[in-house]
Amino acid sequence: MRRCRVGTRRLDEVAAWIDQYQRLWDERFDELDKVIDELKQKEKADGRNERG
Amino acid sequence: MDATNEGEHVATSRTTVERRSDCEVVVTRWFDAPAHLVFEAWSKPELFTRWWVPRSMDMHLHGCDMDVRTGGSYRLDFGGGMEFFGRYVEVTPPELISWTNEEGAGGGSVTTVTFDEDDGRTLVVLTERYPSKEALDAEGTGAAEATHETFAQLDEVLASLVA
Repeated sequence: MRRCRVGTRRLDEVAAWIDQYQRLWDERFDELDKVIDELKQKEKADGRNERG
Repeated sequence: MDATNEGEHVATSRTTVERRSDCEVVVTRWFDAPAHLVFEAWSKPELFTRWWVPRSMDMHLHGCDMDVRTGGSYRLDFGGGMEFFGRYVEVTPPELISWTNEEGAGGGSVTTVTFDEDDGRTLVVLTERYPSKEALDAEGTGAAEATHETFAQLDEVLASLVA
């Protein structure tokens, strides 16, 4: 039974790690979305200026 | 499993994380912009520093040197002696950036990110490849690796129950 408890603890650690890793990239990519959105707007505006 | 299979984890997150092998972790995410803009946000220091460090981590960049070209080097300085540094193994605008991570116990890992444009959107696939399972463990990404060990332990428990 001791082994069983150790196994359960390890499973919790695995889940926690994946969760943490996912959250790190979620956070990064949500911010990256904002930066990219600004670049998109800027490119659009520049395009308009060049044509106009 | 196909990492480019969009939508697999859409219900919980737009970012997917997958263990590709004992030494590899793959992160994927679609962005609603052409590849050259995603590449720009990834390769210009003034843009990169705006998104790379999550606010929840309570860490602040004191310095960021990035010479984003094949053979160039980078150094992220978080103060207090905490630095991340390495070298760009390959840079192919706007398709690919690959760099080494030379700090820390798991030093020697290589991160490769590809930008794959499709109809104005871009699929980002980021692969972290460690030289060994041990290096991956040391880097704190070992929890995912422990899955195999956990199942091995579970096997033992089940075997003992059957016996």
